[in-house]
Amino acid sequence: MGIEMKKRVFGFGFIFLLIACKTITLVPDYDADLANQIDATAKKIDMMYLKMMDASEEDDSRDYSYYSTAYLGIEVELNSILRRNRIRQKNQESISISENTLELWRRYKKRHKEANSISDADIELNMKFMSDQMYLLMLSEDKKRYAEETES
Amino acid sequence: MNLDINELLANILEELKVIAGDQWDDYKQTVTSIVENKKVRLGILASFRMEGRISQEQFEERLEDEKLITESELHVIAIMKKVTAQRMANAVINAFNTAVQTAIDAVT
Repeated sequence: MGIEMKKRVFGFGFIFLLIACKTITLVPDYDADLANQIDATAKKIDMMYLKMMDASEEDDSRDYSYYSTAYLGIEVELNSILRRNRIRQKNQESISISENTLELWRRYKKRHKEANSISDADIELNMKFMSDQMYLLMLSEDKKRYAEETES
Repeated sequence: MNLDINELLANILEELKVIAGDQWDDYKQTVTSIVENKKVRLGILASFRMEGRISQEQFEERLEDEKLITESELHVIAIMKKVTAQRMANAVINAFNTAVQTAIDAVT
């Protein structure tokens, strides 16, 4: 191989190595703490609705006031999840899922507050809808873990 | 009221297959779980309305809630597509890098 050819191969190789140092990133890195927070919040939601279902529909034990602290505590967690997603680059889909989760939660809180009670049917539906929405929130983080695992 | 949830969900699954395109095999398990959840959710909602446990107004409110969930489902699929694209792009770069490195090793 002539000297000119060697120079070309080295030159090309050097340029490409510079490019190859950078990997293409379309989704942010997996955040294990955030995944744990989503799971913990989903459990709190389940717990609140199970307690509500356990309370009688016949007396005042499903009044909003008994659950306002739980509602607010969960809203704080959902706000925190949204903020943590917002500060990450290239994360628009997870931000939208977090916003939808918060919106759904606020709707259920508002309906309970306005009616100052809640039926068995509404508890079952709220629990199922929130559980499925939280599952989507978990998937949005879990898919980032999958990206890391399959590239390493 | 005659509502075939299974037929409705089968149609949704077909739509999602089209969205997933060539990556369907990678997405199958997750998409199937999402569709199964939707099937159960809409099944409960429809039965509660048919049994009169919720009013028409409440039913329509729930359909508005369902829109938020459906939007979130599509966002999860969008993340999966991005992850696939990222993996493919980095695999191409890594393969090219390896080939160039091998060529360099051969001439040195």
